[in-house]
Amino acid sequence: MSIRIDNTKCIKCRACLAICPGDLIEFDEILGATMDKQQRCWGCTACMKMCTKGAIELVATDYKVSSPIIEPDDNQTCHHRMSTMTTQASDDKVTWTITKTDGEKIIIETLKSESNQY
Amino acid sequence: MKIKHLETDILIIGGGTSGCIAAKVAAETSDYKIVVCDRSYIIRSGCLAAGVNALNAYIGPDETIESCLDYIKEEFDGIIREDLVVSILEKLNDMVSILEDMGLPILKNTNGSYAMRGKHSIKINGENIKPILAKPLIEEAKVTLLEEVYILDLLTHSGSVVGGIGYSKRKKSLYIIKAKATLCTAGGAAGIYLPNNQGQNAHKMWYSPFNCGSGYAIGIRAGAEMTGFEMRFIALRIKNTIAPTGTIAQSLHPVHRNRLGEDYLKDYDRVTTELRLHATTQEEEEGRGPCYLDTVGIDMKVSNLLEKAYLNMAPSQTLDWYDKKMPTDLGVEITGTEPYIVGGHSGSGYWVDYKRRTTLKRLYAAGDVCGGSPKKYVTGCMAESVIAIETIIEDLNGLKGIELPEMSVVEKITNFTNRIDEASPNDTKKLEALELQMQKIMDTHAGGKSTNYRYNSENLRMAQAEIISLIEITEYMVVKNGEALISLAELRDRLMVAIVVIAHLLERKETRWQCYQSNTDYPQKSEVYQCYINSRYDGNQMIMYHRPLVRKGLGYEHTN
Repeated sequence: MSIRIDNTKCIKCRACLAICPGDLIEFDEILGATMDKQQRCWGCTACMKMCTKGAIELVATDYKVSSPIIEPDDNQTCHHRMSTMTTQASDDKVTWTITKTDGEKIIIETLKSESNQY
Repeated sequence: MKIKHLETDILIIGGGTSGCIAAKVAAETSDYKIVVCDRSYIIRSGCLAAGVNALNAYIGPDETIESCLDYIKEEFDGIIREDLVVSILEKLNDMVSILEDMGLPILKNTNGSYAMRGKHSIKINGENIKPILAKPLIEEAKVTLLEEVYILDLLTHSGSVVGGIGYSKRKKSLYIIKAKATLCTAGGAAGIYLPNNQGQNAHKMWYSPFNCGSGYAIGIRAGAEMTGFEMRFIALRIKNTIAPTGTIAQSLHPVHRNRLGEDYLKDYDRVTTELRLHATTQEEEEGRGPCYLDTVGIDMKVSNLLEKAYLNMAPSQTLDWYDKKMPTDLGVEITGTEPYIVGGHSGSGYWVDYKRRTTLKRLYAAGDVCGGSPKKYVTGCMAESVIAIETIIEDLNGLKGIELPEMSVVEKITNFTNRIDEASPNDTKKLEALELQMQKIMDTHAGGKSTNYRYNSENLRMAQAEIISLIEITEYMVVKNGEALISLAELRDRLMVAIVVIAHLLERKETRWQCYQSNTDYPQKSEVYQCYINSRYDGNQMIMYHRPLVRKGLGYEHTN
């Protein structure tokens, strides 16, 4: 479970850089935001909520990967069949889009002014 | 490397829940200059990055300060600082009002009272709680915010703490911050023990993996007395994502079932947090695992509300349900985590007087690094921080005219930053390996998850020797760049915490709490240990103390 940044969508605004509680996101002049420390990501989604372009997704994992730490290049193939989640945050709500392995999309809205029921 | 000098009245180390509220109160009630230092970015730093979906410390309509004190006392078998706990309980509900005024949505009943989740929790939407807490600081002129600055050590002079030294890898700068009073509100320690997940998922843990115990370590190195490091906190969590279970357990009251379908908690009269973990661990050990919160067959509407509640706190859990099986179809598998050292949940931290002064002059502590007052959670950490900052203001008012020492006479300037040598090889892999080695030693020899949290004196002595050898390796290690320096600083701090944990586990020759502190040499409780285990590092060795219990009504003051 880690984030993955789609550099074709990144507009190099750097908003995600100054939010990560682990300070894990770097900046590349050509690519934009990059993250190659998947093993250090907490999965908090703070960066995703800052991204206005939905360029960052949280990728599910089977939790079986233990060792060795997978290099970023291999990451894509390692994750290719896992569900993913993107987030769009506005002033009043957060919209979460989950894409399941079969392509089905689930959209969940959480209103910022509304408490959890549980 | 650039060196930046700053002078301030109050230095706050750590911009989490406690640090944010301390700065807000100091700015509102005094004219003192404040510097807040955070190792990352304050909007989402600390434990609350993803949010939290309940405030777990609230005195509900059917409860009193007295009943809450009894509850906390029972949970930790009497080894709590009643003076500290009561002082927090007295302010708890005011903290909820402050959060509500700041804009936190709280669920209410039709009569306007807060909707309870269990006896001590209220339901909120805490996805945005950290930005809410951080906002006043960012806008406040009296506060200088230093983000992405990792505090390496405290500055000391003639027995007093006079600030801290920090390092920023991005700005490639060393910060020497002199302060008349220093408040440590940093986080506790995760990553001391081998976590549930490894490799790619190593940081999928409950407590913030970026809290590496530096708030403890800087104090230990400076000689502050610490308490309760043997009272480790181990959480019962959802397997794999290590997301909290309270949302499901307290709202739906599901049966805890083993693989045989048995309700394995049914024979317990009264189940404490510790016993729930112990029972689950026992089921696993005796081959009756996996264990589940039985959610099979819950209403789809209920499931949807659960998904939302988790998105506001542990979003990976909601994704995991959709990636695998929904809670309506498969029970939620639970297991114990690795041990954490965290004063907001159990009692590990600085030994303070009832006003939150540590044993070092002009160093104060609140929140997860402050010991003796477990089950503080968000609102309790806030309450404690308000008490600490009020003490600081009172003390500073009494110290009018105090001069900070000239830089040349400050005794302790860290030599830590001399460790960067660009010509040295890239040590990232070596640092990762050393971290893993520490975690593995703690796991197998100091009561980690792989031994079902049990240990004995011989194990501990082996762990002690091995951790000391790791400390020796890191003592002289030279790294390539600022980023590696921060990793080295994290490792150095975690090792410091580890060695104190071992010393405390060795000292409590009994089993006071199942799992948290389970010593197979001494499997029973002993009256002799109806006390706090404290320690102080004198620069060479650990000196251990047994301190008598402090009961309510007795505001403890440091005497020796």
